[in-house]
Amino acid sequence: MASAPENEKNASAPEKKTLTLKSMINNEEFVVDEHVALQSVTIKNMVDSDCAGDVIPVPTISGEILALVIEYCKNHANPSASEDDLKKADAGIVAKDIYTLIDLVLAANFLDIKGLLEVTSQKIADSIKDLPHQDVREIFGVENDYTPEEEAAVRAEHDWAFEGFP
Amino acid sequence: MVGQECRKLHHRPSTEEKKRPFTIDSMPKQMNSGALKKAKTLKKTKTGAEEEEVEEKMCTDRLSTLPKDLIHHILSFLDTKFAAQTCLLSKRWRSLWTSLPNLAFYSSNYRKLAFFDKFVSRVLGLCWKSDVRDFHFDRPGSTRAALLKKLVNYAISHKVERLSIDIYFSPKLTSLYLKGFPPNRLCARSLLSLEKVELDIFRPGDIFNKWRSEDEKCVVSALTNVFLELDNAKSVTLGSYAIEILSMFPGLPKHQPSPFSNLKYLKLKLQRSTNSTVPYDVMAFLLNCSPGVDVVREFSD
Repeated sequence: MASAPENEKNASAPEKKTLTLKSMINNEEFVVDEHVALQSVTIKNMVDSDCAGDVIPVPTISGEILALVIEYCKNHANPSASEDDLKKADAGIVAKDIYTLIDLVLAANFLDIKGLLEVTSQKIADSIKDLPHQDVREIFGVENDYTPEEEAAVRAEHDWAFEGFP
Repeated sequence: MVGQECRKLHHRPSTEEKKRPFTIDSMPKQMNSGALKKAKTLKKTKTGAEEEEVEEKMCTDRLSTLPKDLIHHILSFLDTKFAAQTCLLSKRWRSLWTSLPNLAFYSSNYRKLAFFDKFVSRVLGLCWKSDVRDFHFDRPGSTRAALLKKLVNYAISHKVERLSIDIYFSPKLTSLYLKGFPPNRLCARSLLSLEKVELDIFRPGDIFNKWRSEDEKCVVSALTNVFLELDNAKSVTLGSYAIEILSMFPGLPKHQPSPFSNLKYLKLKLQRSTNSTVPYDVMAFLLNCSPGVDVVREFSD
């Protein structure tokens, strides 16, 4: 410890327990305070059941997305942050393109971080609300397997859901 | 980008392209269409989706892996109308929305109330594939009694956990009887003719076996909100649980003025075993704005 005086963290405060999260997609590693990482129920369960080694591998989540997740967790682990501050910070985190949001919602779901799941889902819902169906298909990776006749029939069957809308 | 405390342990070699901060533009558009094509060829299994992803080139198949629950969760933030329209996306999506756990009907999202009523009626008539947790209904103007009845029956038969009905009562309404849980929001201020009110509130534990203190907090805040709306009432009847709830707050009259300003008749339905006497504070709270109220206590075992 004394051999690293350039690290101001070690010099100023007693050592906090940290965890290293590693994205298995691009092998990026992030060192985070334990109480920050434990906002993820998935990670908490791993730590509680002693399944977590020095490095916690996070499958399916890229370093870029993991960075956003950690930013969220850090904001919400800060006891002095006001509700307004958190709202603003959350809005900043989800101010991304729709494909990033889909990755983020999957990450929030996998890591089981309820608050992040909520804000991201809300943002996705708002973004897709007024999009034409073709765009929504593209976003969710849906292949339109209706024939034009079938599609017309389903629409006719659900005409009450489309009334008054182009 | 991540902040100061978060150090990257493994720096990329300096020969590699300089890492740009992650922005909207840093995800190339063509990657998305590539991901789409890949997604279509991937076989999915319901359970092993996560493990499969690890083996596959991870970021390419993400679009195919949005689980049904997550889609439901996202659609739950929208008016059910938008969710219903996803039936046109593909065969899989045709009935995906019919197991949504939350329903939300806001008439402001419709050009005409007639379209709104027809939509609600059709959705409630569908064979829903799951229980419904949250149910919101928000409609100005007078709602047909048949539709309201359908709505309430639906809420009961689908074991709705949180029900919010926002409707406008006719200003001619003279008698209001609320049984069950107090509604969170009740707009009754305009009910100038309202004379007779009866509140028969259940303890949530009477119906569900689970009884949590947070439920109690909800009931308390809902009940005080209801009271605030009923200040025109001349005749009020309160069930024993409503009195019990009020008794939990000894300082009540100091914090809140009496909700009733025209009260002439107050009937308290008491249970002999639990609340044979009503605390002074509760009586003061109920009566201190209306002198000369006729108070009747009715006991049951």
